[in-house]
Amino acid sequence: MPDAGIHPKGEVSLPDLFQKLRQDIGENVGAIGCFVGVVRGFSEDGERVKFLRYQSSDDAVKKLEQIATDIEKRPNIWRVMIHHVVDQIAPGEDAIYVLVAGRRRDDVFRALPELMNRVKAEVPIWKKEVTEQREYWVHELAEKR
Amino acid sequence: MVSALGVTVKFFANFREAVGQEQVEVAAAMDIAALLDELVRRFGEKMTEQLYELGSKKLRETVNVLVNGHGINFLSGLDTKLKDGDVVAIFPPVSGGG
Repeated sequence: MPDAGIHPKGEVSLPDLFQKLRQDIGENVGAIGCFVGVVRGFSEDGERVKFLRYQSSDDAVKKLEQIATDIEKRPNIWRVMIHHVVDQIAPGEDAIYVLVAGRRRDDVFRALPELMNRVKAEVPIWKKEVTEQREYWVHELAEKR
Repeated sequence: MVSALGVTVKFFANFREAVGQEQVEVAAAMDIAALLDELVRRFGEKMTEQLYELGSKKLRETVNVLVNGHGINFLSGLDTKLKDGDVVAIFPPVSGGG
């Protein structure tokens, strides 16, 4: 059963996820890798960010579960956890937690960027960046470049 | 909620902002082209700007349209037929993660 979810702010934390992962860890696990996505204080254009506002569709959890399941099927990967906060998030606050437990560090280090690349490309979540000067959906900024 | 008659259209991100609603029900839209025409009729210029390249009826590259979870690019594009109970989602490129 994949361990993935969409949460409002405050419902999920890295220590809680890490503790859960460690509780029933198998003897074949030799490495645990973790990625935490954090909201930056400055935009790509150097504007001070007030907050990001995330939005998701009903299918987002299902997609996160699918990605976690795909990676868990690999040899030497024992467990994947993906938990995304969908809310209004201020600079310095966490937006996403990805944890991977595997046999060796190479297995884990390989899985983490692939997981995040798939999350960013496939999961129906959108974010609006609100700076001190303006606000925009992130794809709109990319479109203008 | 899926409409018993007609099509449910769900909006996300900039589209939701443009129309001020999460979803609408549209009756008697034969295909995606007709559905988008109806949305433009209801919501006016702000919907036109979000959907189409300036001065044309070509969808902007950043517009994704799904029918029951399947992208119209893998169906019949704007000619994709619609039937009662279909759910259409309209959204920009995703941008989750940190």
